[in-house]
Amino acid sequence: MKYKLVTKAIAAACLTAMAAGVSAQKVSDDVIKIGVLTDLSGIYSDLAGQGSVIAARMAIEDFSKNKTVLGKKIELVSADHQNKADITANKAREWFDKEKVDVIVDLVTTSAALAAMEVAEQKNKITLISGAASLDITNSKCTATNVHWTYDTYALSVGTGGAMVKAGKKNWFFVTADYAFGHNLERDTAAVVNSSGGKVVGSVRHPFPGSDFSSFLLKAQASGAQVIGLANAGQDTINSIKQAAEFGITQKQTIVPLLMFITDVHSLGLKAAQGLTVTEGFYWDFNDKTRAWSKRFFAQHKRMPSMVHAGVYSAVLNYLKAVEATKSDDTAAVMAKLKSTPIDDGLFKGVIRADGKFEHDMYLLEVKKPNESTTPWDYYHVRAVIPAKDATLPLSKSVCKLVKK
Amino acid sequence: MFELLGITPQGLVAQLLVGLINGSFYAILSLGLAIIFGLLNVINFTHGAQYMLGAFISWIGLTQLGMWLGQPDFVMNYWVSLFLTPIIVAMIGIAIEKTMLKRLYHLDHLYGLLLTFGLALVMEGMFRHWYGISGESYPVPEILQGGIQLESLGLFLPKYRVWVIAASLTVCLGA
Repeated sequence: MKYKLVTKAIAAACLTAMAAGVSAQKVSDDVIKIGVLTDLSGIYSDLAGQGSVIAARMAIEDFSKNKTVLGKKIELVSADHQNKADITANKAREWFDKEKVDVIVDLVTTSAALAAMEVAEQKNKITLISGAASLDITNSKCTATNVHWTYDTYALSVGTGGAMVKAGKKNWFFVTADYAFGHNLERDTAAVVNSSGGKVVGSVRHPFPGSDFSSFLLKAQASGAQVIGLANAGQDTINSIKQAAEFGITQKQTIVPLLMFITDVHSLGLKAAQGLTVTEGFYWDFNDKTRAWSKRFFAQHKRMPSMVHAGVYSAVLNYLKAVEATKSDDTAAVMAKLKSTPIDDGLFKGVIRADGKFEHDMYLLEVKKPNESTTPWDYYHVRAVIPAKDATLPLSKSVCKLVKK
Repeated sequence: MFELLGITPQGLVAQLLVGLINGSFYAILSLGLAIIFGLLNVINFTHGAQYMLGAFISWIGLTQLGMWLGQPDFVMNYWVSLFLTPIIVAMIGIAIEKTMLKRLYHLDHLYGLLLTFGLALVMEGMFRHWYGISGESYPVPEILQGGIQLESLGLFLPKYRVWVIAASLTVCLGA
């Protein structure tokens, strides 16, 4: 009896070892290559850009001191997608076909993100999106090889839009960036406004990226709406807010940036930004863990991280953990692992759903007054934590092809 | 007629006014380009970068110089800066002409174009690297702050923009 048990144990050990041996060879091309495809020079390069590359590098170093997984090297490459869909698609194809890239992270512009997702789906590779915002990424245009990590237009509309309507601001006019992201953000926010008894009186679309918004803002002013919702991002938002103040629009109407990052607040300055309500998925000064990580990031980048940077870090770290756990870089296996493992890395906590949306809490923040800010980058009051379930489109309403009904 | 255009008469006038302001910015910008081409026959691609350089030098004088000098309270006067900045940028222009452009006069126009285009990229790259892409702003002097409320147009016209039109007209007519 005893003899049999020992044999069984040895057999089991051998089998496990063999299994491990076999799967260790499952790392294609003997390298795990992570590509950060982001805006390195354009209007979104402060909120993503070089900071995203640094965040990805930090994740690799935190995962393994000598930058290896399963005994294979982890490499990092980066490129500028210039916020253009065609450039993004070409780069993604080149990376997947020739450069042995396994996963593309960040992707700041929605149109660029959708292009990369399509290429990744064809080539059976993974995209982990942090920068882009549209709900469509995990809804009407969802793919099985993608995770939308940090935030989406649904969360923004529920967060900022919802808070404004609750405060009695019911009459809206939108100034919208004229591409997929702007259209989606306007659509989702208008839905929130309409469903809570508000009214959208009009909208105007500006070219992306823009520099002078005065004529669009004058139209918004002439509409007489209580709220001017800015469905744009980055530099476009900053310039819109500055010019709205310059033309005295802020005296009678409320400007609501529907998407704003801490880097935008930094650039605007607290004097111009005070009192604005914003929705973010990460704030560096939220708890001890976020502070500790952000200070390490600051040491390298000389700026505090935006939620996009935190998202890139978290995405890369959890991707590498999934590779280690499944002992392969096989797309289906890694995606299955990601979607079945609850995530809690100190920066984000939640689960990745079937449609690829990483469902986690969001924060409703208010920009501090200059005299309330005690240290550099001390910019926000946390007004509310929006629970993960409320910040994400319910699966019952999803039209994603991956959601079984 | 205004119903057809989908805009009120006040709205139209307000938009035209904004167009005039923006046109003034471009007028100042393009005037320099035209003069350089007229006098030197050089298609100056660094012009835009030099325009930016002027803005940056003013910004540095008005917000950064104090810190650089170790005297955080020191701020250059806006009007002094308005006088000094063009001189500094002109010096840089002269340096570019004397050290590089001068050697290309006997060659085809295209060489000048290539050189200035390259220089523009270098300048833009340097400033992007140093200061990022986010806009910076300097304090506007008190006299140019605020604006004029044009009740009939429902438009609040910032004084600083009026100042731009005035400056642009002066420069254009003077030139």
